[in-house]
Amino acid sequence: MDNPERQLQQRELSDVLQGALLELNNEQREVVIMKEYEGLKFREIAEVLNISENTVKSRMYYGLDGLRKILERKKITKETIGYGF
Amino acid sequence: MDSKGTESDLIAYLYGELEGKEKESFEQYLLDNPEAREELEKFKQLRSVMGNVKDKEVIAPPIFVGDHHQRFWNAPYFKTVVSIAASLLVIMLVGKFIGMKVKYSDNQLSMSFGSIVEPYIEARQTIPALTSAQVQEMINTSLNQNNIAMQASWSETQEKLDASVKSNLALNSAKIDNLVRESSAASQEQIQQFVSGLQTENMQLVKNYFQLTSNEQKQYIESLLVDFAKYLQQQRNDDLQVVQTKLNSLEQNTDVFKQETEQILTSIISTVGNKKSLGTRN
Repeated sequence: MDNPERQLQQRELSDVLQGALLELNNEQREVVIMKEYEGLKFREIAEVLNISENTVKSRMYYGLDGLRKILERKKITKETIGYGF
Repeated sequence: MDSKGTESDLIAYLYGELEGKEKESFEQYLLDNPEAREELEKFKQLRSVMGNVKDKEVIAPPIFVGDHHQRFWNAPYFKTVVSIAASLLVIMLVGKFIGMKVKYSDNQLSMSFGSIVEPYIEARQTIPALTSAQVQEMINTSLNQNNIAMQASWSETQEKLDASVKSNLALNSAKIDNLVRESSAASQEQIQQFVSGLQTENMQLVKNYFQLTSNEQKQYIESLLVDFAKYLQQQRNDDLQVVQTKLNSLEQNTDVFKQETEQILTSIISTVGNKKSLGTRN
């Protein structure tokens, strides 16, 4: 069991990440979610969305880039979430 | 390596989906480009942040705190039941205050506010009505009238139909008889005519044929006779000529023979004479 502080931190981070994902455009968000949270391969995503594999990778790149910029703006980095508890 | 390709390869490498030569060449590219290395590092950090949250989210149950220690009045079923009971109570109270009455009898549901109004069925019962016997009588009379009228019209139409059918039948049978008679008479006459026509035609044909053939035979035999006569004549002429030539040649031959014998005789005579003269000399 985590301690309450950690749980709170997790919830906050989760909210922030969800907000950041919602700031992406639809195309980038669906690719990021399919890759990062459903663990599909790029080829499978390309088949599902009926687009080329390179387009999927490009959308993933700009999606991740966007997420990184949003999180930087919100001062969320590896250090601030206290990774390694 | 162009920027689009680099982005794709970077992403594929980040998720471990780059293989073989592509992976090697991208790793070489990373060694050569510190900026690319830095970018890859940033993406990795981002993924670790996201993965961290993801893991915890998956491990944690969907409702975060005190799921097992929930009080029974917070349970959704209990809440639903209580809310339904409360709303029923409110309705009942309001109904009581405004004097609402609900009554269910004889398959009727009646709701009223204040005093109950008697249903209109009772009022209808007070209206003076015809007795059933009267109604039956009226129905019977009208039925009878109707029946009589119907019967009359039926019999009338029946008679008309019968008459028309009979007349039609008679007409048709007469027509058919006539037609049959006509056709039979006509056919007999026609057959006779046809047969006689055929017979005369046949006779004519046979006559013509015989005449033709006899004429032809006559002509043929005549020509044959003429030819034969001509042939005989020719033959005779030829024979005569042959005999003539034979006779001529025989005549010539005898002439020649005569001359030859004469010559021989003369020669014999001369030789004999010479010998005689010689013999005499000797």
